[in-house]
Amino acid sequence: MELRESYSKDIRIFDKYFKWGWLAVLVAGVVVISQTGGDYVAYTLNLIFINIIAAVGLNILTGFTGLISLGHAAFMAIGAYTSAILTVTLGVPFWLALPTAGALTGLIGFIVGLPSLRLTGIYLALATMAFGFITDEIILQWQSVTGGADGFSVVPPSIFGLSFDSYQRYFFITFSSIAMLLFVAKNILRGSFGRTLMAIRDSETAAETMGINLGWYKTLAFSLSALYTGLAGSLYAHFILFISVDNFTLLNSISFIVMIVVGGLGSLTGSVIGAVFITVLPEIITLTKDYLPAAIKTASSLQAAAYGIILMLFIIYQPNGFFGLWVKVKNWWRTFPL
Amino acid sequence: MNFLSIKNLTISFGGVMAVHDVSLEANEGEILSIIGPNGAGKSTLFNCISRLYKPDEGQINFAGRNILKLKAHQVSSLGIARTFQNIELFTNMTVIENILLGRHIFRISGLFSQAIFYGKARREEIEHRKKAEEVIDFLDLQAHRNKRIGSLPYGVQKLVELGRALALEPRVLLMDEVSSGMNLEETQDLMIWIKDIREDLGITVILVEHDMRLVMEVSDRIVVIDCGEKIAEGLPQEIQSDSEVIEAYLGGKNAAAEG
Repeated sequence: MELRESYSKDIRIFDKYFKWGWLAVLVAGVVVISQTGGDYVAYTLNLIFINIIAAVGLNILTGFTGLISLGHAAFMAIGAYTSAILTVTLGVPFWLALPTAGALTGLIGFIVGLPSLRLTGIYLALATMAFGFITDEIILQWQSVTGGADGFSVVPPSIFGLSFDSYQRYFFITFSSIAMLLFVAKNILRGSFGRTLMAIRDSETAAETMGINLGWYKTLAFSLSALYTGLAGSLYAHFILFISVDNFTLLNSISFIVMIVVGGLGSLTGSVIGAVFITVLPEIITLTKDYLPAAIKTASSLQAAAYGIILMLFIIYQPNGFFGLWVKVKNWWRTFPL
Repeated sequence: MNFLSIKNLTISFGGVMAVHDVSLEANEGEILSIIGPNGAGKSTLFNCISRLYKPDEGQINFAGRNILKLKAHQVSSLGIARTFQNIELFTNMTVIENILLGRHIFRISGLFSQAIFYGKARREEIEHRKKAEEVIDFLDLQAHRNKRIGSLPYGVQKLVELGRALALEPRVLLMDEVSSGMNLEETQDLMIWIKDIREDLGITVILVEHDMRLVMEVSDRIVVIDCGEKIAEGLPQEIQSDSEVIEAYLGGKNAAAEG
């Protein structure tokens, strides 16, 4: 057994200092690859980072607080459109539009979260799904502002005269965003706020007797989750440079859920692993498609089917996701000969 | 002035009278036991105090305040903590995290300072952890500190619940059948702890219990409830020889004769 020397040891970001070294190696590697690996690699890395932010947002709500949402693509849409309208139509600089989009989405998340005080499980899933459809419809109908079905063209951001107009350059924006947002998420979740959310997930009765105001914390979780997803949306808009409702469908919401289930519910590391896996999956499908039977490889819903199969396999065989698997392997290794 | 007083409390569920016109008082610093057969309404009484149930009639006052005006999450900050008959722990969290949840009402730092987790927020977290470790030492839970609740035996889970309630630094502690699922040795430890909780920590204890040895050993006073009504109240010796109590527990004269 390890001896404990201080309280701060229990609340470190990494339990062992050498892990910071691994992180540094990883960061250096990613930066080098992004700048030297060509457009395709830089493109994929950007997309991965944006998806990680959204996955972390959803995990705060679903993995930590135990509230499901099928409407996260809508939050992403709100973030994306807000940022697009602010920069293109109103001429607001990107560095201001990004946090504004996040804040507005957070506010809308707060309002959407209000019904969650009474709804749980399947009913909440349906309510948030309805929210997704309503958002899509508003974007389609509000043509004068959003461009409706024609979509919306966004310009690459520039910060203080520096233009981030290539995937390689944009990488630095998504990368610094994700570094900051992961740090903040880790801080919030390792302290009392994170524990409060998990307490609500595990037992509402006990949480209430401990003095936790269920309504307030659930709405706050919704808001925080929406804020993250809104930021992801804003980053997505300036990355893909053309947005329409087709980018934010129910399938996108479901893919976020697949990410956090595959990665590991209630774990930040899990959100990261899941987002990487699910973002790379379509690329894997494209690469391996040629080896599939002719009848399957031309099917348009191949990606949706793959999501479904993967989700099913994980729920049955590895409900704790990749993160749970990792913990298992680690424990097996530590106690090896036994 | 009364510490905790319940006056004419009545609550019914769909026509079934769970508690009918019950009044009782707990004095500061005493160990009061509420006993009675299964379904007598003991836990219902606790659930009314912690505002999980809304009584139809009656009053509950604690330290001069009307509890019935509060919401469930506000009761704990008055200094009322409890444990549950069918364990209500945070199953996917560790023992220390569960106990830390007991510190919820003492949190000061807001979400923004927690997001940076430096200075005040950090100091606060360490302060809470110190307190939680004290509770762990008090209840001898060191061996289980970082284990998940789901992996612990029933008796230990009961103790963690007790620890979580103690972390709240309550003035009154409601213990709902803590001894159930504990073996003889654990129950004996529990008796010592209950006495320590009152003596060392100065907390008033109200027990709902079935283990008569424990009740008779630790209680200052006992209240007996049967079919939702209070049938007796007094010192342990008085209760043991009360004919109505014996009848409630062992059945009527005829039943006793037949048995």
